[in-house]
Amino acid sequence: MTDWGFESADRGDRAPIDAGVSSALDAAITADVASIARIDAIASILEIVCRTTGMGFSAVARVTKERWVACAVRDEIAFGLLPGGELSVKTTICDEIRSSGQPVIIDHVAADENFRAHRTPALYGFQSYISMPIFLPNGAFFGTLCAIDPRPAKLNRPEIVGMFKNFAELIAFHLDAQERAAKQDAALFDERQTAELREQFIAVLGHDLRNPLASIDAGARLLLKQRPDEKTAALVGHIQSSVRRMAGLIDDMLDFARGRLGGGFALNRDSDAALAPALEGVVNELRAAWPERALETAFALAHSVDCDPARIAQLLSNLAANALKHGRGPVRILARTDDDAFELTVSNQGDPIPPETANRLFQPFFRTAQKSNQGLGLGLYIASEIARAHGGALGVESSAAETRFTLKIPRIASNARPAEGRL
Amino acid sequence: MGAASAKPTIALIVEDEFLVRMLAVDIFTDSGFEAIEAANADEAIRILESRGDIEVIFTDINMPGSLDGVSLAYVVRRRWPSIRTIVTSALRMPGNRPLPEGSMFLAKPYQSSQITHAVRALTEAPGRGAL
Repeated sequence: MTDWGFESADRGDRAPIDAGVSSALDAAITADVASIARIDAIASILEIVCRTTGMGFSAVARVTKERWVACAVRDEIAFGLLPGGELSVKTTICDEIRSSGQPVIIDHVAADENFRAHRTPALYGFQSYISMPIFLPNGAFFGTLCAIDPRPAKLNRPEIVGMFKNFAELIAFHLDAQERAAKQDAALFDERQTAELREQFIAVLGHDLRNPLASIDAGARLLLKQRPDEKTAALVGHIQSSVRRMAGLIDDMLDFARGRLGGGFALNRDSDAALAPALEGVVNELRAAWPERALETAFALAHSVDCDPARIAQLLSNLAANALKHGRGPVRILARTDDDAFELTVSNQGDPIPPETANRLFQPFFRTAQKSNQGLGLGLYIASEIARAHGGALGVESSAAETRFTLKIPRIASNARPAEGRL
Repeated sequence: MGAASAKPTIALIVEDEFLVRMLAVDIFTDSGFEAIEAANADEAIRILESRGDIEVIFTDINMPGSLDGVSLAYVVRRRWPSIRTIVTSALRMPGNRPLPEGSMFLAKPYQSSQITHAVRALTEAPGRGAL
């Protein structure tokens, strides 16, 4: 090691480091050192600085009122300072730059009136010195881009000073870009966490709502087993229908939470799904619930369909219940397969759906203004999501003659989109 | 099994919701079983340790206590391998957790005929795996 070298920063009067610096400040400076290390261009910048000036040591330093910490170093003269290494700030000229905001350029210390007797060159043993302040775009002082050498150097030239200025600006730009990216990451992380929390909340809520509902349902069934009189039996029937409505709302809410708020659930696909019994099950349930209404069905399901039959049944249930609620006359359900696709239509008569409403039907929480007590407005949204999860689509056509919802999904699942099977 | 035998098959009903448990007991009794009640899996295990005549367990999945219904099915399979377990839940499926051999899943709400079928399927095919 040469006589200006040193092994550790706190030797003699070179580096009496202030031990009272708070650890928060330490952490901030450590982060700054890491930020500089992440800038790929830094090594090249320091190399160009040394080549162009002929100086043996160049560095990017973080300079605060209390500390001078090397962030990146190019050391061809065994100065001995490593990234993260520290000099006592009061022994550096950088402290003066921090106060003045102006660069300091010394071609030859021995020939310089202002610095001939300065403590710093004598202490560190250099004859040439240049240091350019690095200001962040918000005007804050970050530190310096500096270089030293034991020999004199011709530094006070526009091309050298200009180069240092440009490099200092470039470093500031990179630091700023990093900070912005970090802020965006933090915001994204927050958003994701909030979504997860919301989903969890809805799932727990759904589960906790189901338990008392199951109790009410069990209580109603127990009452019916006591051979109640006609009036009591009718009351219990009303309790049970309320329970069913509530259970439906909870199911919809959970489907919405799973589908919309991340996570999602995979379709329980069956390449040879028994679709006809699933659809017939829904029709039978609806006939029992709406005995006064006509449900006409025509199923022609000669081909197998790769789908989740429980979800397709849910979709039919939502569409048909909708048709029964909002339409008039018979509800017609047609299901058929051909070589390529499975198609399901549900149609009814009644007032046509205005075009501006048709566009919004499949949005979550869509409800028509006139009626309350019609659910959360999730039925059609969930139905369209089920269609989408199957790689198909759900559409609506409405005229004075009839309103018809049509589901069309490919009969064989596309292998090209395996991750799409989520709702 | 059931009403036809001189001695009815003894079933242990494990369910934390009182009315739901009462209905399950009712359905099992109507189907010719003798029903014993436990409010959670810990109580069920204490009962199983105290008597050796239980043949069927009918348990909810989500319950307070140290074990849920699926875990109870595994404990029963290990300690009392001859006992058959029916696991039930209001959720569409028992999650992605497989059930041990000698047990099966039945979705709520269940009918009395489903319970009879499930018990028959489990007890008449003892050599076969989970259904």
